Amino acid sequence: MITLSNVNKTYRGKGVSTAALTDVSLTVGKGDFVIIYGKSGCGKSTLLNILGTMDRPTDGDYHFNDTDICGLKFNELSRFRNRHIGFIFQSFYLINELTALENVGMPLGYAGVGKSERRKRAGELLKMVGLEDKLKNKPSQLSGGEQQRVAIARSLIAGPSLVLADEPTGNLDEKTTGDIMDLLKQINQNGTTIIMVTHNPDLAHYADRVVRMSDGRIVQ
Amino acid sequence: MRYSIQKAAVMIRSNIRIYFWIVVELALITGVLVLADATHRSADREIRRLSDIYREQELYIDYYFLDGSYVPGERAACGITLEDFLFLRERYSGQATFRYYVYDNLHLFGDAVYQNIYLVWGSEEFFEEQFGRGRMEFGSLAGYMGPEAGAMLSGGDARVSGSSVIEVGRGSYPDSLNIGGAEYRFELLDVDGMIPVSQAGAEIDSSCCLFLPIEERPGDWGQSNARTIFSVCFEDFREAPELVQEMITLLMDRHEGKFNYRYSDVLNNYVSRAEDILNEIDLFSFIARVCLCVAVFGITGVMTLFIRRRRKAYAVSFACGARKRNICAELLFEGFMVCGAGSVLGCLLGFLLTRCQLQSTFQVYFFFSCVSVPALLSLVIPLLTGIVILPDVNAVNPVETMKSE
Repeated sequence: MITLSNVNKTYRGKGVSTAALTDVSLTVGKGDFVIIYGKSGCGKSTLLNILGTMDRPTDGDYHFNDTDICGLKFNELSRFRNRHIGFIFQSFYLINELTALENVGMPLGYAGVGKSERRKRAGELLKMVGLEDKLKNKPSQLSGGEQQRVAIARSLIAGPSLVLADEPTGNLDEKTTGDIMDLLKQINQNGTTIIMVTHNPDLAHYADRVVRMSDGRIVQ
Repeated sequence: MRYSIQKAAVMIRSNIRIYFWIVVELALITGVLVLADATHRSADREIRRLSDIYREQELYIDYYFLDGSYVPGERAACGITLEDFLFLRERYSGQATFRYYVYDNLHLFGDAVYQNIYLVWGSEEFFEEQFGRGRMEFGSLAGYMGPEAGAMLSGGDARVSGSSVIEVGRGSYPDSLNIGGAEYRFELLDVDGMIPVSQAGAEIDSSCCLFLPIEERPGDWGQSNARTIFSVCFEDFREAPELVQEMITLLMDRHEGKFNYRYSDVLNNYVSRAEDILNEIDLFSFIARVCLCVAVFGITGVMTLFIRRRRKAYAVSFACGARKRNICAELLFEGFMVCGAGSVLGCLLGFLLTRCQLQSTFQVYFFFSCVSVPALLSLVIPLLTGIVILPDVNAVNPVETMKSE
């Protein structure tokens, strides 16, 4: 499903170049649950951003199914993300002005789905993540765990084949972490590929496969 | 596109406190501009209209008697009745030529309440000769009591011309009629023969009928927007001052000192007043336009700063599949809705202000061009905001933006 070949990512500042990824190659199959593990600054978030088409590799190849991601333009990438990829962020990144229902329905809005259908599907997903009674709450009226559930529902609403989770439990307590991971596992068991970045080794047992990174390279 | 509109509406709703003040500011500015524009055009039109009357009347010396007790909006200045006119015309026959006006220069039909009404009727030739039909300002019955009134009065055979004269066919007029729940009493005056006809069921055999307000009975009617005026042209101008004073005395006697008559060049006064208003409003309009320019940049600046704070939201939207055009559309729609609301409210405010300010002065006219500036505003401000903010939106790197947040 995903093939990264010899991907490098270098950030260039004022006369300084920083290599974030060096010669990274990775293959992920459909329905896998992959955890990318490593210490802070090892390049795992950069890798996730490239996988999520939010960032471009400096060189190397990235194929998603049969699509050459490196050849797509900004708007084509947006469309691609909208159809195929869901994101879950450590800081949730919900839009404060929108309700839970509106936040979840947003990707469908950009896909051109009508309001009633959006609301129906968003309601179903919020029910699935246990927030059926908080549809009209704004992010500021939700706890951290609830916000992350909303973010998970948002990542799933367009029916993506791949969900990328960047430290999804980083801001949550132990119990809520367990709940969120159980939810991700359940989503994965329904056939969605999940790639999750974490620096918490205790979460490794949720994954089918753990990729360890250090200094911008995959070491295991 | 539809989602962009919906999202823009949600963003406005969520930030209603900030947008409320922007809408208020825009409404005030556009309201003042509409007021200035409508006043300017109304005054201009009034000047042209009055000038036309001057030309058509060929007035050599005009002496207008005006009811001095006239208070705009309270009661009519109908101290000179048609009977007065007919009386003076007969008395000064050969010395002066008279013309009678019901100068319906205001626009308050909705407030009028009538209890007793004179229906003055006569032949078309008579009206043509005496009143110069088409050159005078008569309130129409349609205007006062609704278009159905003419038909009701004549038993279904009347037509209301919509301007000043009710054309009637043969009909039997009642002496009272219930119109819209109010009881109206009518008295008929045959001006061909100058004979009052007061009996119910009188047969009308004329092709013309005219409604005139008459102040004869205490508190009997409440037209608040008409003045009766007549002009007099003396054969010998040198007799004019003395004769005018005599006429005033006669009129005061006829009305038992109820009115304080004076003569003046009323039309000229109206023209001067309209010209004064025109000059004042031009200065006002200039100041308003300067304020508008400052406000446009101010509002654009506020909106730009406000929208710039949403970089994270744009980054998240991009991550969720938004294209740049989606974000642009959201921005523009948000601006259009806010500025559109401000402009629409401003237009309404402007119309109300104009009516309140001018209704006691002259007829208010609204033109499509009055709303051109507000309409332009509701386009220019969002577009300016868009021009300023779009490079920022284009430069949003979702990864960097979310990191920095």
